Formats: sequence, C-alpha cells, structure tokens
Amino acid sequence: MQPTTKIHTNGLSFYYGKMQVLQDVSVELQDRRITAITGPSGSGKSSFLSVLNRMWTEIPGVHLQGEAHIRLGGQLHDLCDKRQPAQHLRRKVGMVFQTPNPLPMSIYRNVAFPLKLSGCSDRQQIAAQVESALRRTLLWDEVKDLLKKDARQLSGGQQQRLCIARSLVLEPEVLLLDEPTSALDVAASAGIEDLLLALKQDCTLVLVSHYLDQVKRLADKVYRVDNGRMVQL
Amino acid sequence: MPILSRTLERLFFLAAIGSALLTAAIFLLLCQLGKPLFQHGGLGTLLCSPWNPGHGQYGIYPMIVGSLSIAFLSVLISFPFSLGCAFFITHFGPLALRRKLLNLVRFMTSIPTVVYGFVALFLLVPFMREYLTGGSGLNILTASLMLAVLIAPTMIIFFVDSLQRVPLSYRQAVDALGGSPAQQLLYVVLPMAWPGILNGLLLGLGRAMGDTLISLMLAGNAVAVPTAMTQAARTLTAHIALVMAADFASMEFQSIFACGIFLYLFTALLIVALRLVGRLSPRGL
Repeated sequence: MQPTTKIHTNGLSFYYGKMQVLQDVSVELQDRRITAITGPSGSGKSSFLSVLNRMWTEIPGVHLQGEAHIRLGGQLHDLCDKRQPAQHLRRKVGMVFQTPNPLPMSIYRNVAFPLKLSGCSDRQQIAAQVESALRRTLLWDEVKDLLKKDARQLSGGQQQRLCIARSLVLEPEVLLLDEPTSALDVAASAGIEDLLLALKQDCTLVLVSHYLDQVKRLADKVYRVDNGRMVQL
Repeated sequence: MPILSRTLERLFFLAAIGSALLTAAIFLLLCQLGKPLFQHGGLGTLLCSPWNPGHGQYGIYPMIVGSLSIAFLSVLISFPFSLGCAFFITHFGPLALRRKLLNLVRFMTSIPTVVYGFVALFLLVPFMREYLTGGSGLNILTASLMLAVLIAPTMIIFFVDSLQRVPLSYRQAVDALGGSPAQQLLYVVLPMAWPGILNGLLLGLGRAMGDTLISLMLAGNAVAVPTAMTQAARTLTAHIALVMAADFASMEFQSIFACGIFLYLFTALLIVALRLVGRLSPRGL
C-alpha cells in the first residue's frame, strides 16, 4: 500500500444475508483527494461507504470477504475485522448523509455533540472548536447570533453544512458523503460543492453521487458501481 | 356509493356511541347493585373499614391495600428488569440475538396466566416457604414476584417499541459520530422515548392491578390488612372471584360491587394519566 493511499480494498465482497451486494471490489483511494462513486440506485454505493466507517457492523446479517484497510494517523486499520471497536474509527472517518440529520437540539449543541461523545469537557476548547468548524463550513456568519436556536429550523442547505461542520469538529481524516446534495436546491448544492473543494486540502473525501456533472466538477478519481462491481472511469 | 359510505359512517358512529354508553352503563350498574351496601355504611366507611361479615362489617379496605401493594410491588420489581431487557434488545445485545429475544418476549404474552400461577405453586412457593418468608409461602412477595414476570413482556414490548420509534436518522447520526450504544441511548434515545416508557409503566400497573388469577393462587387471600410483604393478602379481584363463587344474595356478595367500582375508578384514573403522558412529547434534547 502506497504512502499516499488512504483506503485500499482487495477482492472485497459485501453480503447482505445471502445476497451479494458488492463483488470482488479492488480500489485505491488517495489521500486528500475527492473520489467519487457513482452508479444506479441500489447498486451498492452506500454499502461501500458503510464498509469505510464500519457502519456495516450495525446491520444484522451483513458479512464481508476480502481485504479492506484504511490508514489513520499513519496506522493501518483492518475494516473487515468485526471485533475492533468502531467508535474510535468513526471519529476519524466522518459521515454526511443524504438527508441532513441535525439532532433535535440547538445549533451549538449539535456541533459540540461529537466532542461530548468523545469525552471532551473543557468548555472553552469546545467553544473554540465549534466556532472553527462553523467557520470552515462558512456557516459562522449566518448563525453566530442564533447558536441557541433549534438546528431543525435552519434551511436545508444550512442544515447540511451544519452536519458537515458537526463531522469536521472531530477533525476527521476521511469524510464520507452519501449524496450530500440530492435533498437540496441548486444554490445550496453549489455552496456545498465549493465547500467540498476547500475541504480537500486536509481531508480525504469519498463522495457518492449520481449527478454526473457534479462528479465531473469535483472528483479527482471516479468509480462506477454496477451490479456490485466497481470499475474506475 | 355515497349512500353506502354514509350508511357505513353512521354504523361506525353508532358502534362508537354504543361502546361508550356500554362503559357508562357498566359503571351505573355497579353503582345500582352496590346501593344496599352504600346505604348500609356509606362509601367512605366501606373503603376504610375492615372486612368482618360476622360483625356486619363489609369494608374492602384490606383488599384495597392488598391490591395496591401487590400491583405496585410487582411493577417496582418488573420495571428495572423490563427496561434492562428492552435496552438489551435495542442496543446492547448481539445483533443476531435481538430479534429472537423479542420474539420470545412476544411469545411470553400468549402464555395463559394460570400456567404462570401453576408453575409458581410448584417452584416459587416452596422456595419462599423454605428460605425467605416462611409460613405457607403464599404472600404478597410471592404474588408480586410472579406478577412481575407476568407483566414484564407487556412492558418490554412497549419499551422496545418506544425506543425504536426514535427516528433512525438521529440514531445513525450518533453512530456515525463515534457514539457508543450507551451514549446513543443516554443522550438521544432515552430523552426522546421517555413518554413511551412512562406509558408502558402505567400499562404494566394497570395489568398488575387487574390480574386476578396470580393473586388468587399465590397471595394467600387473607382478609386482614397486611402490614408486611411477607404476609398473606387478598386483592380486590381475588375477593370478587372468591365471593362470587360462594354466594349470591348476601351483603358479602354486594361488597364485590364496591370492589368493582374501585377497580373501575382506578383504571379510569390510569387512562387519564396515559392521556396526559401522551400529550407530553419532548420538543428537543
């Protein structure tokens, strides 16, 4: 595995019960690049993402074959090993969902929530990190006076940027994005796209999208999933 | 078509009115049949005085104490156990085991009460007699323990349901942010699911209060006011069953209507409480 390789799979297969969702997937995802994964719905794009942050371990009946590794903090982690705890890994491999999913709490507490989960209790440090994450997602100026407001009252695009900020507050090395703009209007999507290009500087991005023009604009490398197989385009 | 749908609408309306009237009618009938008793002593004395038919006292106070103590004790025993079971099924158990366990719990609800009572007579009662309470082994504690087992499945199913009704997107958010199952439960799921949990608790209490057979078989049916949970007691429901089996026209017989009225009012109160809890919905975390 090359030092610039962030994620690497070799002959990876993903089974949901008896159904094979991914077949013999061998891919290499580079550090600080945007890798896009496209393909028809139900082809296994989200399943691939669930391997990368080990969300697959929460789904009954799923098992993997083959190899999948991720390099975090210079160390290789085996993604197929069910016994390793997933919590630590997920703090370094953030995830943004298709539909923005702010928790039913204030804007500030949403962004501070991951820090609370990781056991941070220094209020000043939390405040500083929340502000920095909101600045990175260009949300700070819009919400700095409404931090106590319920996050669900923000617009769709703002909610999605809030969710990205919430992932960024843990300073992840990898960010998984599962069709992050498909629930948003054109203007909001453009805002998210600019943001992703900026994030590339210090984060490896894996973007699932079926908008080909979006993929063209953003991606350094594109894989297409079809019938469980992944091919580089 | 409009005629048919209007007819159906009216039929359903009649059915709704009918069942509401029936409930009211039951209450009126209870009052009517219990009338001689009220004339004899008045409701207050009835609810507060002892049961001593030989001296003309038909108070149901001992049974009220018996019913309430057995019901509350069983809920007290069952609640932590059921909540733990629900947490195991939704958060902590191995994935493959969760569904099986829930199915087992569902199956438990369909076991006839008499089977629980019977099993307890042969296993729990001798154990209590030998090691814990002494005496006959038939007492409040024995009945409450078995009743706790009986009401647990209802509570577990209700708890699991309300824990799982917390939107998946919230639970996924916590998972994806590196939260442990315990953190997910503590920070997001419980704060959103507690009205449902409270509802399950009240339903369990209602079931415990209404159960007849377990207390009849295991509580000892003594008519004295119990002062400790190792003593025998008679519940309102068991009293109704016992008196009804023996007698038809006496004052003793009429006392069961007072029991009915008390149970009726208790259930009505519970339902009001359930309604109030139903209105509480957490606005946010």
